[in-house]
Amino acid sequence: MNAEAEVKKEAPVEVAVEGSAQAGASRDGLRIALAGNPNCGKTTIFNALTGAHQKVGNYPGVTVERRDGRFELGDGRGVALVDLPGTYSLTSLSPEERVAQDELLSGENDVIVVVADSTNLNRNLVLLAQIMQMGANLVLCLNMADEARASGQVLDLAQMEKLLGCPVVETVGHKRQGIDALKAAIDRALASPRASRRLVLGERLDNAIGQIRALIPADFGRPEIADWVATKLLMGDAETTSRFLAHKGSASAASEIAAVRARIESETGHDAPLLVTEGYFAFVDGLLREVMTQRSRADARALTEKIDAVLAHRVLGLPIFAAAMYAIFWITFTIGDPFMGWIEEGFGWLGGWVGGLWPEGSDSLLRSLLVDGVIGGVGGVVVFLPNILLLFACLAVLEDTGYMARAAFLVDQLMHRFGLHGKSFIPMMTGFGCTVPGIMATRTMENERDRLATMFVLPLVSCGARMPIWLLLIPAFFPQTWRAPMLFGVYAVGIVLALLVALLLRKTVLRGDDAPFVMELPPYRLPTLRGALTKVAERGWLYLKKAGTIILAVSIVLWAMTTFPKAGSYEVDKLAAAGHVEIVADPEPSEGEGEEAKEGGDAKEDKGAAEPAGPSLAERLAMAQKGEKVTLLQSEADARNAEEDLNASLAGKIGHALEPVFKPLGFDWKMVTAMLGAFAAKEVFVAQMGIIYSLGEVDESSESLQATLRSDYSPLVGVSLMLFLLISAPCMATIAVTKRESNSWKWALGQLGGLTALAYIVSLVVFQVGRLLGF
Amino acid sequence: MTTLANLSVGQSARITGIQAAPGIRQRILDMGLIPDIRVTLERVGPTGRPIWIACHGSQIALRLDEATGILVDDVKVAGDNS
Ligand SMILES: Nc1nc2c(ncn2[C@@H]2O[C@H](COP(=O)(O)OP(=O)(O)OP(=O)(O)O)[C@@H](O)[C@H]2O)c(=O)[nH]1
Ligand SMILES: [Mg+2]
Repeated sequence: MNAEAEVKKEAPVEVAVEGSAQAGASRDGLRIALAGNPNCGKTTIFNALTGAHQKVGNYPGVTVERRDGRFELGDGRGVALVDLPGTYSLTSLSPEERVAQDELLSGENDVIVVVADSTNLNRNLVLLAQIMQMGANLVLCLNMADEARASGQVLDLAQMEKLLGCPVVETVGHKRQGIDALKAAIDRALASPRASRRLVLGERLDNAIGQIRALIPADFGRPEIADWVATKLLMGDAETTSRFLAHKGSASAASEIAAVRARIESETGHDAPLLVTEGYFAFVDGLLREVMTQRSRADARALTEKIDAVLAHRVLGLPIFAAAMYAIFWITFTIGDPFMGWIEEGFGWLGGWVGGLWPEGSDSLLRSLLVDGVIGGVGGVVVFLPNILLLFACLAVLEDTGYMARAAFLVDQLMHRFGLHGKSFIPMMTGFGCTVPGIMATRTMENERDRLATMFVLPLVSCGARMPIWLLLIPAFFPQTWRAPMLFGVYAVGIVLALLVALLLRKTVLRGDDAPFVMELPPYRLPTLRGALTKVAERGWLYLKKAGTIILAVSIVLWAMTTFPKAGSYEVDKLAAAGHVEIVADPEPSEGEGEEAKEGGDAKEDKGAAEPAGPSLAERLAMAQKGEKVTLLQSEADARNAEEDLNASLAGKIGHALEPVFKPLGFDWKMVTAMLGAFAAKEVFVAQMGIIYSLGEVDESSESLQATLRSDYSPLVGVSLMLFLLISAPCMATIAVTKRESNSWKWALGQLGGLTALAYIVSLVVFQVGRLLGF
Repeated sequence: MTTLANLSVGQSARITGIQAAPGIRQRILDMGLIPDIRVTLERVGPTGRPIWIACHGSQIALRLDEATGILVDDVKVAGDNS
């Protein structure tokens, strides 16, 4: 070991580099960080060590925030583990790289595990070289060893350990191979806290770095990272330089540093950043020459290339992508349908059973809460679980195979025309699942304007929470053959609008240069069944949890708002007291007849036609008002009373008050209250429609909500409603995350107001034009 | 001067220099696109852009704007590495 490698790591040394990271936080126990290039398998290793289920995917930029976890070493010592976003080097360009850089520079970690993709060591080990300059206690984890081995590559690990001065292990993250060896290596690193060997970048660079290091005041940053700081100053890194200039007593040093840089640049004829980067690569090259006993075969990527010849084909690529997206919606709809039917029946039975615990005709509030509020509300949302699982399974396949990066490549030019970015595409695909992680995923974008534009339009990409809305409304208004195309259409409208709004933003408030687009395309990988299943199960569980918490709570609130206050006195009772109305018991429903009676029980005027003989309920009531004597069925009277209760309730009052605003869009007050609830979480729309119609109905074994909607509203109202729900007010969680990620209320509220205004205009135009055209 | 943007699919060339704004230039360098490295133009996007190159065993997509800043010489038909 050479002497310089003895830079021991002391316990927490104050602040890392001035201004960066919140070091100094008290900590007991050990702390370890995972660092590495994007997509090298850090999160896979993190999950394998801690048993967590953090998201992995086969494209760069999956992890965008730090994640904390814990695991135990062989001897039972607990360790806090930090998973970091991937980064190619310790120069941060985008917010997520910043997170990684701050953590690595903080000096808070007892060991830094550098995860490297064994199939691309030339580039992956450059980061290792940079971290070596920070005097950290390192472990090198050569992941993807399976792929490297299959390609014929052989490494001499013992030699590698000797040259690097740190433990080196091979792992196959997704199969959990080598994890014990990794723990043992961490143990070894902890036992002898030698820093890895000092990095040698060649005489010329080493001299220059040495000269600059001597110029740095002792109180500028931790002493361990002095080499790294000196290198950055040599490169003229803007951030380090400006921080250095702000430091007292640095003025004279700054000009000497510039002189060192000028000298090396004139001697070589190359600029310093290039020289340093070449130095890193040359170091790795030299290392690999000594440890790589066998190189990988040239055809290692043959299979991926064959697949890309089709999937990334210049002409076929986009049509295949469109077909794949269509297939996803088709699968979600068609395959999910029977399962959905079962759950629906299950809840119907449950509602009947719970309702049956009370005597016939009881108006117990608890019964109403359980049957109408909980089963009608939450049940209406849970029904769509199978479809949601299918959607996430499809997204998991896209994410885990590596197709996502190809799709981003194919659509970049299109996105570019609208002022977006190929990298905007990945947040958008993530947004199909949920807008919140979609907005988080914009962190991989280097350009702030691109990032803001993408964030702003992301709620237009229909998320998983809106899926139940489409699954409720589309079958209610459209015949079977139209359903999958309609669903595809909803998503397509959202995306087209997102592009148009982005274009508008980039032409107005976010005007500016195009951002660069440089993205790595990983090889195709076969998703493991376990990985895909955990991912889907995780999402399914989240969906159920949301249904059982937020949606349950909001449903109960909405139920109460829809139940209280009661009307108190009812028209039918008054008319009956006046002797104008006679209420008779319902006839025993026989086969087929039951359906008709229910339609008739509906208080909507225009649907009286469903009952072939005699005037409708409304007509009869009107006759009664004029003093004629009419007969009502008991069920008709009950339905009428329930309707009056709804109107009198708080939700009814709010809905009625706002109805005039939404009337031109074709919505009635029931939809309005459901839309207000949807701001809490989009699924609540479905829950509230369930509650309203459940309360408004007397019969437990009532027909499905869809059939009720079909009989109450025209398809044009359905379309207008879907457009409004697609475009309008993103949910609260989205607003909050936009605020956090854009760091401005202006953007978050602009998003809320702007999108809601757009929704209003689009629905208004569609409904009014549709009506003129006679739909 | 020849740049990466001038290559046609299937051609390879040797990088001689990178011209770009400092931030993105460093990113390009960090990804391994440094002088003396050979790159191959593997395929192009639907409208001829972006471009898709192979270098060091990794595959990288780039916009034409960035590609025009990557200077190359010694253009060959790929597969004929010497
Ligand atoms: N063949 C193989 N695949 C692996 C291995 N480890 C991880 N993967 C796969 O590689 C892909 C990337 O893994 P992640 O753990 O998401 O990578 P990451 O480094 O966290 O990526 P970012 O968060 O984007 O920086 C996933 O598809 C994993 O299933 C391995 O050892 N062998
Ligand atoms: Mg990750």
